[in-house]
Amino acid sequence: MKPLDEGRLTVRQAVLLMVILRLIHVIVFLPELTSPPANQDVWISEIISLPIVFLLALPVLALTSRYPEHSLVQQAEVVLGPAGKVIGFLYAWFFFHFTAITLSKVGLFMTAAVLPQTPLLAFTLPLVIVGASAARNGIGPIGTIAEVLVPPILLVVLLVPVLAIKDFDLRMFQPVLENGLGPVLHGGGTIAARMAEVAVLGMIAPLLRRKDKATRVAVGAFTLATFFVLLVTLPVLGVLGPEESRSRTFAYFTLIRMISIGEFVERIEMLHVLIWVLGAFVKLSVWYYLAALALAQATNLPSWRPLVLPLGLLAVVLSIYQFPNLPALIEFASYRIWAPYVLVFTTVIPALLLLVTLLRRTGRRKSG
Amino acid sequence: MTLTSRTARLAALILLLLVFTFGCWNRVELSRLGLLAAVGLDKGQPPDAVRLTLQLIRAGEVKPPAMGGGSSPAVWILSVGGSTVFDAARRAALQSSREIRWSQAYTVVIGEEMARDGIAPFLDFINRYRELRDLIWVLVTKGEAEPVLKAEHELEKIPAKAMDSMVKASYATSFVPAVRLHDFCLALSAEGQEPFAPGIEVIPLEETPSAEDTEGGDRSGVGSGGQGKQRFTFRLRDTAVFLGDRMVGWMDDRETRGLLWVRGEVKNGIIVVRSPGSEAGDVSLEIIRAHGKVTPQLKEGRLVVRVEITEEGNLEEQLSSGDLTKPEMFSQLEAAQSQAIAAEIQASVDKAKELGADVFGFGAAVHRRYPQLWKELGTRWSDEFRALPVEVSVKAKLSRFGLTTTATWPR
Repeated sequence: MKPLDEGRLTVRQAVLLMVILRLIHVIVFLPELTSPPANQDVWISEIISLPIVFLLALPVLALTSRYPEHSLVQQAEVVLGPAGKVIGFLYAWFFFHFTAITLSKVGLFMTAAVLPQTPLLAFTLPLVIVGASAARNGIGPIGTIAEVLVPPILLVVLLVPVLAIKDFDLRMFQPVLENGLGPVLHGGGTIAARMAEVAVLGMIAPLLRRKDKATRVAVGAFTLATFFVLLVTLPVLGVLGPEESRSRTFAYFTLIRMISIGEFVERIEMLHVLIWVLGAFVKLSVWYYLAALALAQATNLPSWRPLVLPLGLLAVVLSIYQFPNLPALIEFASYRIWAPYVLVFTTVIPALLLLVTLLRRTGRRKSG
Repeated sequence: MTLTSRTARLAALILLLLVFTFGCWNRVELSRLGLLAAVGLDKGQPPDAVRLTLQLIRAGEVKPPAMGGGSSPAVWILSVGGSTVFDAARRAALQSSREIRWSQAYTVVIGEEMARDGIAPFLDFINRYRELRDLIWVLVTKGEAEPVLKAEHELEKIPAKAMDSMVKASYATSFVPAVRLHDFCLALSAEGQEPFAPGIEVIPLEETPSAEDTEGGDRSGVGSGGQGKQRFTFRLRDTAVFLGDRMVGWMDDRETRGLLWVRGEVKNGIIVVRSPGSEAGDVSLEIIRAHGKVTPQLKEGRLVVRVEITEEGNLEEQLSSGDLTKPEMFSQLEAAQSQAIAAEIQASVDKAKELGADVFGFGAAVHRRYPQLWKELGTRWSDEFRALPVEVSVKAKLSRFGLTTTATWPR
C-alpha cells in the first residue's frame, strides 16, 4: 500500500499544522472555560492535559513506529485484513465530519459576531472552494501554507497578552484549587481527550520527510499548542474573571475588543477575525485533505483527488444540516459530546489495533 | 493538461470567487449615520418597560463655526419607549433620519428609579450587542437619565464627551470612581463584591436671553429677558451603591474616597487637615501615591478584615501662618493625614455596612484566602458583612512642601 500522496512534510510544518488545528478552535470558542473545573483553575487543567495527551497518543505512536510506511487507515487494513476497511471508512467519516464542523464554526462565528446580515453560505462556500484547491494539491502545499500563515497567527496570540496586561488581575486566579484536585484532573482529562490532532498524527506520520520523527512532532506540537492555549486562557481569565468569561460566547474576542492603549491602539478586533479566518482556512484544508485521503486509502483508489469536490459539497450540506444554529454547534462542541467522540478515534481504535498486533505476535511465537 | 485549459480553469475559479467578494454587504456611508454619544436608561411609562434617551452627534455641527461648523447644538436628543432596550433602540429609527451607530458611545447613564428596581435585565443588551464595547462608562443619576443627556456643557460641544473627560479626570479628586461597563459587570457577577458607579446630577445654568436678543447682536439685553429657556449642565457627584443589581443608596464624596482607598484606586486628590500648633487654618495635602491592601484573618476563629493603606503626600497649601516645614510639624501633619484617611475609610465602611453592600470586595478577599469558610459564609454574606470587624491601619507620610517654606503673611 502506498501513501497515495507524493508530497512530504517537514517536522516544522507538521508541528505548525497540529498547533493551528487546536488553537483555532480555542481562540473562538475556548471550550476549556465551560468544561470542568469551570472556574479559575482551568489553566491548571490545561497544563495537566499535556502529560495526559501523551498517554492518549501512545497507541498511535506505537502503531506508527511499527508501521512507518502506513497511515492509520492503512494500518487497520494491515492488521485486520479486509475487516480493517470498516475502520478506514470510520476515519474517513471522522475527518469528513470535522471538515463540516470547521465550516460551521467559521460561518456561525462570522454571522454571530461580525456580519449578522450576511448569509452563512457567503462564508462557507468561498472557504470550501479555496479549501478544495488546497486539498487537491496535497499535503506538501498545505504544509507550505502552514509555514507561511501560522507564524503570523502565533505572533498575534503572543501579542494580545502584552496589550491586555493593563486590566490583568492576578487575584482572579485565587483561590487556587478551590474544589480540590478532582475537578482539575477531570478537566485535564477532557481537554486532552478533545485533541483530535492525535488522529491527524496517525495519518500524516507516513508523509513526514523523516519517518522516525513522528514522536518528535507529537512532543513539539502538543507542548507548543498547550503553551499557546495558555496564552489565550490566562489573559481571558485574568481580565474577565471566571464568571464573566464563562458568560461570553467568544471570550477571547471580547478580551481583544477591550484592548485600549492610550486611546490609540484600540478596536483591533478585526485582527482577531483575520487570524481566525486564515487559521480556519489552514485547519479546513487539513481536515478536508484527510477526509479525501482516508476515503481513497480505504477504498484503494489510485488517487484522493477525484473525491475532493464531492466531499466538499457534502460537507457544506452536513454543516448546515447538523448545525443550523449556534447553540447546536456549542452543544456538540461541549466536552460531554466532543471528548468521548474524539477519544474513540484518537485512542480507542488505535489501542484496539495495537492490542490485536501484540496478540498476534505472541500467538505466532507460541505456535512457531 | 494544456496550459490554456489550466488558464481557463483558473480564470473560471477567479470569476467564481468574485461572486463572493462584494465586501460591502452592509455598506453605510458616514453621512447616513447617526453616531451615538451617550445612552440613557429610564423606567418606561407603562406599557413600556424602558425609556431610552439617545444623544446623537450631528456630524456637521461639531466643527467650530470658523471651519464651517454651525452654531446650533452639536447633538440631537431623542427619547423612545419600548418593551425592551433593543425594542426601544429600534423604535428610534421611526424618528431618526439616520441609522444609529452605537460603536462610538462614551457613556451609559442609568436613572435612579431604574437602578433601584434592578439593572441586570437592561444591561444584557448593552453587553450582548456587538456594536458596544465593555469600555463604555457607567453613570447613575439622581433622578432621571433623560435630563442629564439633555443638559449641555459649555466647554464641550458634545456633552457626552465632557462626561467622558470628567470621569477620566476623576482621579484628580478621587471623590468619584471611574467605572467601565466591564468593571461593573465584573463586580455584578463576582462573589463577595458588590457593584458601584459614579453619580451624575443636573444643575441649572444661568438663564439665557431669548432668541431675538442674541440674533440682534445686542448684548446689553442679557439678564433682562427672563423669558429665555432654563438651561442645565451636569456634574459628577457621589457614588451609587448596588446590592446585586439593585441600587440601595449613595455614598458621598468622602465615603467614596474611603471606598477607593480600600480598593487601592486612589491616585490623586487633596486631603484637608487642620494646621498643627495653636494657629487656626487648614492645610492642603496632595496625595501623590497610595496603595491599599485587604487581608482577611481568622483571630480565635473569628473573621477579621485588615485594611492597610500606605500613602505619600505633599504639603501644597496652608491657610495658617506658622512654619510647617520643620520635622516635628511634618510628623504632626503626617499623623493628621493618617487620621483623615482612616476617618474617610471608617465613614465608608459604616455606610456600606448600613446598606449591607460589600462594595470593597472583602467577601471576594475571604473567598480567595479561605475558600472553605466562604462556602459557608457566601450565601449570607450581606448579613455577615454588616457584622464584620474591619481593622484599618494607615501609614501616611509627607515628602515635600512645594516651592515655598512658610506662607507669605503680613508682618
